[in-house]
Amino acid sequence: MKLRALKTFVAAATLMAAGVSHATIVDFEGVIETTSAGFFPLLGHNDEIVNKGFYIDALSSSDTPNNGDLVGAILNGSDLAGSCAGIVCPSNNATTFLAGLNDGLFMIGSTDNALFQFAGFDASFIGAQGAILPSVPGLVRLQGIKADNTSITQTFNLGGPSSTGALSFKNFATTGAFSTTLFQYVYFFGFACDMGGSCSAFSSDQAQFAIDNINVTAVPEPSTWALMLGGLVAAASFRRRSAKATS
Amino acid sequence: MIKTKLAAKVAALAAAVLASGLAMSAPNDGRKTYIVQLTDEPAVTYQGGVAGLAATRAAAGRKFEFQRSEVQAYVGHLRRQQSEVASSVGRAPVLATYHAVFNGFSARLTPAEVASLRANNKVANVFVDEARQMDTVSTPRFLGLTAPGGLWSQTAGGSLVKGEGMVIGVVDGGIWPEGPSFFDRVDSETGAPIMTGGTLAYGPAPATFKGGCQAGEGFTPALHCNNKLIGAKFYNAGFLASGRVKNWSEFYSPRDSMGGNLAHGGHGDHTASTVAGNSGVQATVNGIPMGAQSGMAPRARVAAYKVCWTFDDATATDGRGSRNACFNSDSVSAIDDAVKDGVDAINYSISGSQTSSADPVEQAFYRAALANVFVAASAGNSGPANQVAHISPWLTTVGASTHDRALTATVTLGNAAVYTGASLNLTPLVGTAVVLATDAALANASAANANLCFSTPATLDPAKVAGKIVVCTRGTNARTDKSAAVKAAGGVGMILVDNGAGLVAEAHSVPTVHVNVADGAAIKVYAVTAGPTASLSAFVLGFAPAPKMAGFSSRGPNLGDSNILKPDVTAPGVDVIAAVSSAGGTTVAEATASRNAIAAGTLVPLPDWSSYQGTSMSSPHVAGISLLLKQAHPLWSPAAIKSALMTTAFTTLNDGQPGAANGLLPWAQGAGHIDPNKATDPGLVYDAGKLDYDAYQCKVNRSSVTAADCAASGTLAETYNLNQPSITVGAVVGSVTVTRTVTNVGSTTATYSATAPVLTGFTAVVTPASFTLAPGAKQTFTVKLTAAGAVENVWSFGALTWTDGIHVVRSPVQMRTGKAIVAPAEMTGTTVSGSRLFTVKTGFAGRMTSIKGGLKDVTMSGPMSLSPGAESQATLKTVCAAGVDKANVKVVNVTIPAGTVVAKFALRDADVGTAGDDYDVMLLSSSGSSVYSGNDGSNESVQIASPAEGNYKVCVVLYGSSAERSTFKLSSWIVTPADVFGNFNVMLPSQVYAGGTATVGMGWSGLTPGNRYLGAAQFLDLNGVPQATTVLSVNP
Repeated sequence: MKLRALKTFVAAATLMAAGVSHATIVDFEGVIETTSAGFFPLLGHNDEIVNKGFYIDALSSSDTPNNGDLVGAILNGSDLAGSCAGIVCPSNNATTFLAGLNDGLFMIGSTDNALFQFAGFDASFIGAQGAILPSVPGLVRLQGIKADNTSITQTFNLGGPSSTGALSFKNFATTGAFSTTLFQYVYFFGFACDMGGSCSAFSSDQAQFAIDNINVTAVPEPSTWALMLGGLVAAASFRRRSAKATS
Repeated sequence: MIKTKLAAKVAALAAAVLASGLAMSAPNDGRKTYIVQLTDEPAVTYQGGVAGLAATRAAAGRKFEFQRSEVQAYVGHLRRQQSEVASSVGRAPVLATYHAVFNGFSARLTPAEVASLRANNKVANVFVDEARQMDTVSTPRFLGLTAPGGLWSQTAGGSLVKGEGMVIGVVDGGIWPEGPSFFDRVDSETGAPIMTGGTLAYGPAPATFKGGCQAGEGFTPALHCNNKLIGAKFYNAGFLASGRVKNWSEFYSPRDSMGGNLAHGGHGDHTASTVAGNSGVQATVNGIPMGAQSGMAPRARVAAYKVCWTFDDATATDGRGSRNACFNSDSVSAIDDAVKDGVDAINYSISGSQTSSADPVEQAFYRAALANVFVAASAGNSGPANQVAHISPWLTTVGASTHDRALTATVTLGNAAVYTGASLNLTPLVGTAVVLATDAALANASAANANLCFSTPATLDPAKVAGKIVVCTRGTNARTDKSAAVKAAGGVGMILVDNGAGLVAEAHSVPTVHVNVADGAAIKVYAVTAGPTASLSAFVLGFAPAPKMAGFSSRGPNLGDSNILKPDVTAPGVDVIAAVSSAGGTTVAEATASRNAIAAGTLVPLPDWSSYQGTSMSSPHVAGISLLLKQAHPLWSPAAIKSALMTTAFTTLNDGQPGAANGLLPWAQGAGHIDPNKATDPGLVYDAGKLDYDAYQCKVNRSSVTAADCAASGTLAETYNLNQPSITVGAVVGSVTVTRTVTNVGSTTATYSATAPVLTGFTAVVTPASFTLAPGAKQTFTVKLTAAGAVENVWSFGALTWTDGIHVVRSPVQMRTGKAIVAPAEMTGTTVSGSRLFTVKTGFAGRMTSIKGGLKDVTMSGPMSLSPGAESQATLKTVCAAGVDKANVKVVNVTIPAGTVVAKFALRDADVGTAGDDYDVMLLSSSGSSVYSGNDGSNESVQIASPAEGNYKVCVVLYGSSAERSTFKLSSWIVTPADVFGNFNVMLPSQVYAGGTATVGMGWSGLTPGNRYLGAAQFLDLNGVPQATTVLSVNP
């Protein structure tokens, strides 16, 4: 988080002049900046990566996190027998994708601090080895933080296992207000569901999910950047607690 | 020994039985009393189907009411039908008619009338009426098959449920076709099986059977195969390839080898006749008439596949100079053919792997199961040790227990103490002097061998034994070898003291009574007093409380997969009388002459019978019952049949074995003793098929299944979730949720309610606790089991029961807690940088920590050289413990420091001298525990994760080589936390949960291609105690 704040200042100071609206697919292909992720491709608490002009911060949902606690990983879908040897990853995506592990959550935002719209993403549940998964194994919730530091959420049901236990990415599009609102940054985190259809977050280490092809459109607006700097101060204390939720 | 002699013997027996019956009862009008059974159901079990007549079966929970109008209407129908059938043999006096529990009548009939009735399509069977007596060959009665309303009296597809249309494949020691159990003709009057003449009792083989008979020594298909014995093949390629020398008693053909006490034949006939031998076969054992013997499915056909061969072996301990062995390669060929031939079930009373379901025979049975062939296999005779064999879930593994017939005799000592033991003794001995075998040893014989009464070399001194009863002890050599030794030394009787394996009544060379351990101890004390004497009585028939598990029946738990219960069930396997091959003489010379005459086709040998014990005898009982169930329910899968047998089983009686060997535990009896009459109507079954077994194999035997199969089936995450009719969890970490699916095989929609298992130290919740299922419908449920005070590594036992008020569907449930953390033993990699994510299970809440060491590159030793010389695992351990180099063994001393996370020692083909060298390696700790790697070739490795500190020995043996001398270099890794390389990193979650799972990550980078790296992480509980270790092996 400290890294992010520092970068934000730099980015804000140098890049605010761009001013052109453009749709971006954060697909974790090409260059991934990993200088703040010491054990990349594994992601610990407070690690950060950058891809396609967006930063992704990895955060533990624990009340007592240590830096380096495992909360995510960048995985190569063409080598699931390797990285995913001991967990159940989605099998229909041969590209690189992001995995959220152990109830971890991610925060995504533009490196130039531009506000952005969040149009959609691909996602799948990630299962523990040995888990018997219900037809809705988990949820992904997006919590978008608006320029005024208020937030709105939207929740998506992840697909269940096939008859053979395989998990698959599905495409999800945001709808309604969530699809049109401009955000400073967006949290995404998972819920794990039981056979009875009851889902909970941050309470089992079993809320795990894979994310790819995040469709975001940054809308630089010079008049807002000073406001954002103020907002960042609040974000540090806000991000985890605000996300603790149960549906 | 010729055919006429055989016919005369059978005729004489039959005449004796008939004469006594006729003398008692009726005038000799040429008629005898028969019971005629018709094909339609009697009223108690009629479920509808005759036009205009409603079902008369009693409603759930209600008694059968004979006066109800629909019952009376149906009984009227039965009376008309019976009258119609009886009038077809118009002059026959009808004695009685039956409607409720049996549809038919009794009448005095002539042979012609019997033949006419048998041809009538409304007639299911015609039985000769007989005066009932105590059954000697009684397992059909003990299993309830002969009871009123029992399976044999039920009908399916217009035939009695006796195995009609079914074929058993017996993979065993071959067949003795002169056994009446395998004749296809019957005497027109008595119905007794006969080889020639009489009436053909069987039509052609079932159309689905594509097998046949193969000629060979002493076996001519046209002569020896018939409509009962429809298949007979032999498989000896593996045996021949072994280079062993064929014994004089053996035939290279489907014919079983010579039997008796001189050779090893008989087993194949015994198992085949127990499965499907004809009923009404008068058995005699050692000349003693034993009454009528029958297989469990007496109308099923027999296809024999011979895979077991007797070979010369001077080291044999039973005095026969030979052993019998069955090679896996021959068994697999036989199973392959049996499935191709279209058998309905296979009996496999042959030992098998105790640790792997990837064994080729087990894999052959996997495919047999997929072809809907039920497989029964013996649990093994190594009990009460934990050595259960045939651990695959797709077959039914059978333990052995007693049945209630007892053949006993008494030992009365000179001090008036009386002991009862097992015996077939015909010749009483009165007031005869007694001597302990250990007090009668020859000068050159050890007391231990004399105690066991070895015949070869002789151990008993004729000067001390002549004219006396000798007290011998069971064990090592054959029981009959002991009495032979007594006889050879001039003794006149034997008291055989048991070793805990259980009493056996059998024929001996001298009058013998087999007493239990406690009685034997008392007798031994008396036998050293002054002038000891004893009297042995002749044997009598009696009843004993049964069933009890046999001491020899191998116990579980399953050593290959602690999440699968083995054995599955128990069945009669003690004192089972069935057909065997005949001895052909009392000396080897005589028997060899008989054997050669049989091989030449100039002698038709006699049939014979014998009393055997073993899980080899219990397995064919289950195989036979499976045929009855398949006949009654043609669409049931092998898994459904197994489920029906297991969920309706009842518990055995306490056998008194201590601890985990006790017969009441599922390790001995599985789900319990089979109850065939209940198994035909189990209510629910736990079915399983290809997808289930594939998912299991993809987990435990990945190399045995194709990638496409695994893609289709998925991989079973935990083997306790395979849909077995039992629930076994070998390592509960906090809690487990076990999933099962049941299918309603009842005829009506039913509502079932669960009774959750009550387990010491665990709570159990069944979800849903109740459901309603239409016929054929399936229901999945879960059983969540949570540790609540369970002691680590101690099994708890209970049962899950579903009932709809009519059916009780019972599954044994057994579980124990494991370590507080369960992590994969090893992860591997082949890249210079990479990561691995894996699931760990945790039994506590809070922060888990880790200690890591590595990565560390291999350390290579300098070259060392050895000469070839085979050492088994056991002999290598002895050499290794001695710690001195030998020409063929190098001992390397290593010190493993405290805190070591992993130690590994390995050889590679590339690091040994000559192509084809076979090196093996053992790692031995100072405490005596060892790890062994004994592959063909020299790719060997032994590894211990988190080893205790101390001095260890690494012992390398050159097991075999084409060279006189071969050099090798040893690869070593001893990895401690001080070893840091390759950016090896272990990442854990912030917190873990009791009974939960979490993901752990390992990563590495910067390795050098071609090196071999090893590292490991220990996972620690809240107290900082390592509970699990995951080794990382990277060969970039």
